[in-house]
Amino acid sequence: MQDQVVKKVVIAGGGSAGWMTAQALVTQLGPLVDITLVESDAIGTVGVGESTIPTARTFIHLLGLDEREFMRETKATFKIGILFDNWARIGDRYIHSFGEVGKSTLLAHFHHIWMNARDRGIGGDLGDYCLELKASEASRFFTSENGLLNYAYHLDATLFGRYLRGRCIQQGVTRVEGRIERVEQNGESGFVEALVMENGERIAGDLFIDCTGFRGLLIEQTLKTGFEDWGHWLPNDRAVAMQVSATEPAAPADPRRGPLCRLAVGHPAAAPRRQGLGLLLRAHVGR
Amino acid sequence: MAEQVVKKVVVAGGGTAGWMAAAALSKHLGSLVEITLVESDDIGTVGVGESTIPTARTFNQLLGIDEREFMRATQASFKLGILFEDWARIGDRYVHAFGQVGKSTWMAGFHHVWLQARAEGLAGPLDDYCLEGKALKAQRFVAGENGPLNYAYHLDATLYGRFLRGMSEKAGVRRVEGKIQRVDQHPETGFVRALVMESGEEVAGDLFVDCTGFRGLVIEQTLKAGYEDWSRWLPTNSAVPLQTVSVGPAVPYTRAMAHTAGWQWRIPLQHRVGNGLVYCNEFMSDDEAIAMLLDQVEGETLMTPRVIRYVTGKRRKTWDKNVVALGLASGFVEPLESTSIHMIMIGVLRLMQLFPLNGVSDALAERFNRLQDAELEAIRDFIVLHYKLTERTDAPFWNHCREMPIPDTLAHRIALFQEGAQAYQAAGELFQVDSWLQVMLGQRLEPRAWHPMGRLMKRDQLRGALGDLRSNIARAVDRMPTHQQFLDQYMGQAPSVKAARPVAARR
Ligand SMILES: Cc1cc2nc3c(=O)[nH]c(=O)nc-3n(C[C@H](O)[C@H](O)[C@H](O)COP(=O)(O)OP(=O)(O)OC[C@H]3O[C@@H](n4cnc5c(N)ncnc54)[C@H](O)[C@@H]3O)c2cc1C
Ligand SMILES: Cc1cc2nc3c(=O)[nH]c(=O)nc-3n(C[C@H](O)[C@H](O)[C@H](O)COP(=O)(O)OP(=O)(O)OC[C@H]3O[C@@H](n4cnc5c(N)ncnc54)[C@H](O)[C@@H]3O)c2cc1C
Repeated sequence: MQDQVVKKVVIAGGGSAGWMTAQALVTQLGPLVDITLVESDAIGTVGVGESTIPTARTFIHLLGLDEREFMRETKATFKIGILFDNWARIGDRYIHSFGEVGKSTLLAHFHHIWMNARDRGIGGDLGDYCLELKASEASRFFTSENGLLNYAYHLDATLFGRYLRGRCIQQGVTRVEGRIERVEQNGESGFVEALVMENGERIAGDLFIDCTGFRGLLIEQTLKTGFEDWGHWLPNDRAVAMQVSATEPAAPADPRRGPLCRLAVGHPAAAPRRQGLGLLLRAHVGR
Repeated sequence: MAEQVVKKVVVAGGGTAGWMAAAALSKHLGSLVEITLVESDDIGTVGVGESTIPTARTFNQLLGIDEREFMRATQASFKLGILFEDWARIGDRYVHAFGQVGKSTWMAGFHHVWLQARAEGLAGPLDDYCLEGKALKAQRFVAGENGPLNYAYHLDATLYGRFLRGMSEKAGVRRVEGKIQRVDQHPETGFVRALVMESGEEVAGDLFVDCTGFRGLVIEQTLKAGYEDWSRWLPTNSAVPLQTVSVGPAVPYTRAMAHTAGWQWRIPLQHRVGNGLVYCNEFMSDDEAIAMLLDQVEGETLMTPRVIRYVTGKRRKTWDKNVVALGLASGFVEPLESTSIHMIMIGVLRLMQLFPLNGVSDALAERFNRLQDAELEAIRDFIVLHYKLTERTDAPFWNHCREMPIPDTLAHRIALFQEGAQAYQAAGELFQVDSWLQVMLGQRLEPRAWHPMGRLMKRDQLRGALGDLRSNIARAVDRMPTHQQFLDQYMGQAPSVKAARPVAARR
């Protein structure tokens, strides 16, 4: 019989990443491992990350969450795609929806057939053949068991973390509040052995999951695994996020909001309490 | 509207690859392009390639082929997998069946649970949890609409070519018989313009599919696409096929019997048995090989053995300019897992998906080449696994295999399994986890640890889950007729004498 080596898992950080991990581990492997999560109220979380893709549904299912409860707790709305404004040309708008476009065969994807039809003057826009796309254009939504639409959620990141934290603690995850001052490594192997807190408390573990955000306290500051910079392909390096109260039903984006504004379509009846707005930009525009 | 550039497709070569390509292209694109196939009766075909994998059924469906008609025309039998004999150690037997082994969850494959159960003394042999594996060992078979078994065929390669030729000619493919003497290229672009026959006839085209076998008349001899040699990982380079009269009921599996410098195949068809010896001529002479084969086969021989020489590897570019190579012309990995016909099929399928009706482009060719390369590289690693994991020390050939370097991709796979019983099927790869698993365990690669999934289950729960699965499978197999009985009935033949006595799988 094999020896169990990993008995204590320590999660460093209590943002979305930390609590999602804690919830998944405690739900699936709870009886086998002891889980501790360390977070600092003083440092706080990044507090953004509100728009998801359909794999979020798989994940909440696997976490054993009830969809309605999850949506109530995180003030979520439904999402079936993204509306892109002003991208190819100013004034352009297009939707990237989660749906399948038309019916494809083994030989050729639907769009080949559509292009052929377009050449011959038959048929409509590509979007006419995608349920999610049509629904997002019309700001309509419907779901039920075996529902037709492939969807995801918009959610409040802070509320999501709080919701998962409550559940995790109930299911036996130990939460430690405070600032990690240093990380203890094994002198020979370099393996992390413990986190040492500002108050001197030592949190030992066999496996550490680094969810400390951009700083990468363990993976980078301690282990120095290195970072691959992709800035030459994706030049934006600043974001400004802002929350405003919801003044209208969640609707397609207003093209006047700025060059890089993104907003997706939600269900009018499930208007969010607030809307998230944001701007991505590069530090030295015009250089 | 983009202009149609490719109007004439010329297939060079009429072996399995040539006729598979002609049949598929004429069926699906026949109304758009004119198809000509050139073959030489003098040169002939390689005449082997009798064991397939389940994707052969997909191909038949795609061509609208009726299964019974196809099986009658090719004297086919059903195949549920391969029985490997004497691979890790002399006396070892293991099955690589086409089925799923147990029930897996997203978190962990079934084998992790099985390994835990085995450690607690609660599990039977792995094959007992795989319907196909269990049926294979019992030599039983059943098929039908929504049948329970995942299967492939054993077929007569020459008859298969003839069958596809009939279909293709009916669909309008023009056949030109004769020897291609030279290939005419555009002086500037190097694109192929025509095949010039010995008779002087010029067969012109816009797209050429090179199916001329090992020689690669167009892709290599003309375009010099280059060849990547893989023999440092797969040292066999020779094969001797030999057909014999069948002396017992047809079994629903291919046998792959290791010998001192390679292995031997045995493939049961309706009317005969296909045999062959695969070896490395640095470790065994041709005469020794032929003598060993003649000594090993069971029925009367139907031909004189003839040596086929090959270099394992692949063409550096299988699509170059307006030439796409398929079959042996595109590369070759020995038939240990019956993958060559699959490579032809997937190649034809991709060619049709990426069909350059409006002209060849670099992007199309690159996409095709990447897909074909990745497919064959994954197959290569899977085959190398069988040799690398041997424990045999009885012959220099096996010592060589055990100690040879292996591709990094495979070394990582072996380490993963050894350390934590982890196996994976990457996107676009042919072999599923179930396949890796059966071969790794069959080759005695014992994992040191496994996923804790099984430990999360109570002992009774574990015993119950495995017990139910095992008895359900055993019961289902008991209800199946023997393979020979089913085959006779399915082919509408009076039961043959061979069917009378079901024989238990040799163990
Ligand atoms: C502008 C922006 C917009 C985004 N939008 C989206 C989106 O629409 N959709 C999407 O999927 N994702 C989005 N993301 C990404 C998403 O926000 C993050 O993936 C997610 O919030 C996870 O963050 P985190 O948990 O890794 O880090 P954080 O939220 O930064 O959490 C870090 C945690 O580590 C703790 N910590 C750090 N140092 C210490 C220490 N020394 N001692 C103790 N505790 C410490 C902190 O207290 C905190 O709990 C966006 C990100 C940005 C920046
Ligand atoms: C020993 C062995 C065992 C195998 N076992 C299996 C197996 O179990 N399962 C499996 O899937 N695959 C197997 N294969 C592979 C399988 O046999 C081939 O993939 C398949 O037969 C395709 O061959 P081909 O059509 O590419 O070539 P060939 O059969 O060699 O056909 C070449 C064609 O080109 C023509 N030609 C060549 N030169 C000229 C010329 N100058 N002018 C005119 N025509 C020309 C020939 O006449 C012939 O028609 C095996 C291969 C070998 C060598």
